[in-house]
Amino acid sequence: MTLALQLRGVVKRYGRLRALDGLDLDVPTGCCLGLVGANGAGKTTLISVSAGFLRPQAGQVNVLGLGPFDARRHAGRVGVLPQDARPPPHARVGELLHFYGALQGLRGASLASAVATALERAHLSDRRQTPAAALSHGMQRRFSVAQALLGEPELVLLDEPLAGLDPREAVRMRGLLVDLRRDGGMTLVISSHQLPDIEMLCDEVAFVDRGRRVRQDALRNVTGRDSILEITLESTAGLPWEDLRRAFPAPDYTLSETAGGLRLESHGAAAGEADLNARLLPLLLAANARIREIRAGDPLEQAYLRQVGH
Amino acid sequence: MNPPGARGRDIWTVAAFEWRDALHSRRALAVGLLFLILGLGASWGFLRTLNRIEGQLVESLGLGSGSETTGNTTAILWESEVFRQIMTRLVGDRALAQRLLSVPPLGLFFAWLALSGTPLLVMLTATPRIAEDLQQGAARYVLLRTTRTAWIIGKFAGQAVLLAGALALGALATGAVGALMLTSFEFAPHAAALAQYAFRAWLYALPFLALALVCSQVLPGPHLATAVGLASLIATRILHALAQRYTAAGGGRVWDLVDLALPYAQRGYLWWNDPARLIPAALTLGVLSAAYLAGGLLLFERRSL
Repeated sequence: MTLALQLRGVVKRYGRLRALDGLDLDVPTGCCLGLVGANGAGKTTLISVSAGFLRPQAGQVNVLGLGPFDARRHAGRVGVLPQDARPPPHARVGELLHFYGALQGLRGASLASAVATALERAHLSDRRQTPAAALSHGMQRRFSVAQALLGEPELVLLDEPLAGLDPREAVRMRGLLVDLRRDGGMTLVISSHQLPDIEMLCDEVAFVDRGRRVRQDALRNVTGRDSILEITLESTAGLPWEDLRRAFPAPDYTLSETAGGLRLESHGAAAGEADLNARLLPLLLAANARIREIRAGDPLEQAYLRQVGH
Repeated sequence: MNPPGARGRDIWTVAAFEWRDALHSRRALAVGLLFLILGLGASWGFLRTLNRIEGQLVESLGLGSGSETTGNTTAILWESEVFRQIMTRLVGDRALAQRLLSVPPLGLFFAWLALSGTPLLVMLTATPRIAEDLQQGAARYVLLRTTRTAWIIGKFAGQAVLLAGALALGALATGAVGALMLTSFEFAPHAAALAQYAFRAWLYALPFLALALVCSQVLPGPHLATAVGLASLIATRILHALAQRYTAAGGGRVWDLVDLALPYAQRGYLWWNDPARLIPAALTLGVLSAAYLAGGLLLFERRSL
């Protein structure tokens, strides 16, 4: 497995505060990794250290196997959406992207095409001539994403891409990120407090707490997507509990009643969400149970709180 | 990966963006207007004063009204042997006095104005340039794609070209006022003097520009950068005065070195036309600019963005 980004024992202190306290992280090439943690956990510092904005006091950072970030080696290969950066207010959107593209070594037709693609992706094609200061907050975020994706970098670090966006802008941004995942090819690291978005977009997740990685695993392992089914019913009255327990015997399975339905957890070899569904649903339908919602795995939020413990 | 030699191209790209941004933001217009208005106002004031003095002189000698002949009396005075002797005594060097008297008075006035005022104007206009980008976070977009060194040198180059344009406008304004107000205005010597001294003032201002960008790189905001830039201007002036005083009193090598590290010591040489004085002064100013920039970069390389 090749790594697009690797951090080992990284320490970053601000005075007495240890924003990163010996943090380790492995981001496999081609994956989408979600960074989850409370405010001040160290997510932004992690991204800033990876992008060379901050110099760590200790530890190693390896970006795309070329060592710590260095613009001479990494220009155009790493894209970053910084959390609170604003573009120069008077420059036009298209002109700024041309400037950034030229700095990362793009020229002529390839520069023009990269700018056009980035603008299109960020739904800003009609704003090419608009001064950055005239963009709304949401548009400025989309501009930030456009510059991060300029020239198809191999690794893209997105710090809170949905922060502070109104619902319409949030939907647009989510769509943009979904498109990015669908198109594939890039390694993405997304830091976000919007955990449902992380669940939707990422295939791996890292919990960060007090400057350390608490857990990093595939999302389906973290949430139990392959081993937990939670079913919400209109009523649990008349459920065939005996039949259900026979079909899913302990200790391989735990079957429990919840406030709105039932929860089935597999402890053996992961059977997979589809297999559990295929075996459980016929029993429920035969008992005329009225199903409102089927959810595979725990919400990421719950998994995070269980792991971090506060 | 960037091809070899990209750094030079990056410097050019940053400098070109700096000019475009100065045009879009109307900063170029503001700086140009500032130099233009200063050139117009100061030269108009100078010629008015000259006119008044000449008038009084003509009146006291009983030669009739001098209000319509600004510059004529001065031109005569400028050529007289008595005045040349007075000038030599004032300057303390016959060759320099000869050199200064070969320049039209308006040219000398512009030279004095440009050499005295440009460092202050540079501190006011250039100190926010990097600090603003750092404060807004816009620097992060750029420094993902080029080195800090290329970015700073590009900014310096961009600002230096803007300054050259502004000084040219100031010289143009001065020349225009002279053409309108001086009855004895001769185009060629005035144009030559104004162009020469605009260029020399530009050379002299480069270390100050570098100093302004150092303040802009290392301080947390544009206002603080401007305040510290102005304070450093005063501090270096005081240091120069002290160095001159102690050097004259045989204060030793340290004060010589201190003075050499400041641009003020080169100012006197910029009045000369003698290449033996002018070229070392120009080279020293270039070296000082590079040294100040390098010092700032050493600090900036360690700075968090």
